[in-house]
Amino acid sequence: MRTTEAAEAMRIPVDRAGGGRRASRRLTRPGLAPFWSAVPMILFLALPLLALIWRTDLADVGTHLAQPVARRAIVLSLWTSATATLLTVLLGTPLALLMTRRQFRGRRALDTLIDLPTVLPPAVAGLALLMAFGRRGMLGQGLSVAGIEIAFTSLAVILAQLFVASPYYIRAAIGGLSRSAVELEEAAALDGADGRQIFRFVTVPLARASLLGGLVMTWARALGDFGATILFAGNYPGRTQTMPLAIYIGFELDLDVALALSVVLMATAFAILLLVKWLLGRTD
Amino acid sequence: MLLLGGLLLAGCGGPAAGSAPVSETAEVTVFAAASLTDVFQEAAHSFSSGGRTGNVVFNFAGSQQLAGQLREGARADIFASADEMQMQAAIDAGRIGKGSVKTFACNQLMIGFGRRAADASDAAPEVESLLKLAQPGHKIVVGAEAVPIGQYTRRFLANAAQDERLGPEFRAGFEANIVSEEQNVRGILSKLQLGEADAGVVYASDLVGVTELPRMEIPAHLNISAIYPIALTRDSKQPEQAAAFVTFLFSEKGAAVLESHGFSTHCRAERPGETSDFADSGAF
Repeated sequence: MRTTEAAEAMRIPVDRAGGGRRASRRLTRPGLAPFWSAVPMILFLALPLLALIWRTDLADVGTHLAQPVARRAIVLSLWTSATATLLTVLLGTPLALLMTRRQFRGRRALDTLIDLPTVLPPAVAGLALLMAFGRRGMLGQGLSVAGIEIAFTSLAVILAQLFVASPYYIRAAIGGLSRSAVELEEAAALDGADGRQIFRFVTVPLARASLLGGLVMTWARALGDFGATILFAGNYPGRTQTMPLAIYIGFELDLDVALALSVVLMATAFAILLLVKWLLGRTD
Repeated sequence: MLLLGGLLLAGCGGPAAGSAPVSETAEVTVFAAASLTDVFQEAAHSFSSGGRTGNVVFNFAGSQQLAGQLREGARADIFASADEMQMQAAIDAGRIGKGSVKTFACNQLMIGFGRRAADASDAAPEVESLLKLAQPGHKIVVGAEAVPIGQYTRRFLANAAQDERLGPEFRAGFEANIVSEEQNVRGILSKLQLGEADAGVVYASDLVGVTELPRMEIPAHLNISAIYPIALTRDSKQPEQAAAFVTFLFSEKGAAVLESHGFSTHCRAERPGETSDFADSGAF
């Protein structure tokens, strides 16, 4: 039960019917769901992905990925998205705890704020970041005077990823933490555990699946960001040209490299989703 | 009843007949280089207000992107590229007949400065002012290699490297200052308008309508001539309307619109033969 709730909080569909033994008993109305009626949607979802693989020369993917453009983009994407994910844990966990362990005014507004970046068009996110951290931005102006300029750097890539991707972890953490029993934390406190011990040995283990699931989603979203990055960080190989940007350029310069990178990103995304579902399914 | 049947028949027969008169709602789709955004919109306006029927709709983007879209089968009636290379790509993809390509305008490069740079005054078109751009600390934005503006900029840099007062050190210094490679010339312009970049290489025509940005002409012996070819696609659904729009661009009125936006049309005469079947282009 906890699993599906956590999944709902993260908006990850969990296979309810196949997963729980109890749930399978609910599947008793096959007449309402003839298989053919679902075929158009299945085809629509699967066809572009199959076409992508079909157009790609799979034997040559390795050679294309070894090209400097592709290699630099992969390296940059990996370390920036890993940094953004780490920052998400460090900065997002306290926020998730605040949201689940305290009642305060403006909580609902804050809750909406957390969701906002996930529904904003990434281009809007990029522009907003420029207005805040750009040279003439609210904060950027002061930073610029101090000699710190963020736009066009790898730091800008990380900030863009953090902005668009961190809500996925925070949302999942709120879901997981709000269900890990407060009574257990109180019992641990009665037994003399301090705040840090409670957090480490009670709170986190109970919410582990949600936290990990959210983390992986955040990483995947960070890895895939295009709009916010190209607006805020620009496009320069090795510095700000991540994999999605290299795909966009590659479409025009070298379609084969673009296809190879696309297949890699697609396979990664597929593996990530499988991992998340496995993590969430395991706690049953 | 008979009347109704007749109307239906007429309604069916209309579009099927090959050389049917152009209907009021006929739409000509023009794929045009990003640098043509303003001038083509004005041209379309005066074209339509000249008592002609139908609309002209545009898809503005980097020429390399448009060529890529044409290669993948996007529907268009006209392709106007910012260089001959991308027109050739469309020809190679089989979407454009080689014989139908005509040069309709030319352009030059210019240095645009970011809003806060250069103390907001135009720099003299001298080699000395150029040298400053190669000093460390400047943030320069150019077009990506695949984009026509990026190709032209690399040719300008090659010219500069040959120049005795600039030399290879200038090119190296200039390239070291590049912070972003944009997907089309409008991307360079917006980075300058936002003040995020100090300088950028754009077309002279781009700066005509942007009075707030300081600028610097590139000395004539270093500058290049950007050639703008235009052609009808082979599978145009509105060949007559499309040809009428191209003819308009070659008319005196069309040339006036192009020149008011900073394009030159003298290059039409420099390339004899290409424009011969356009009666009113003889003046150029």
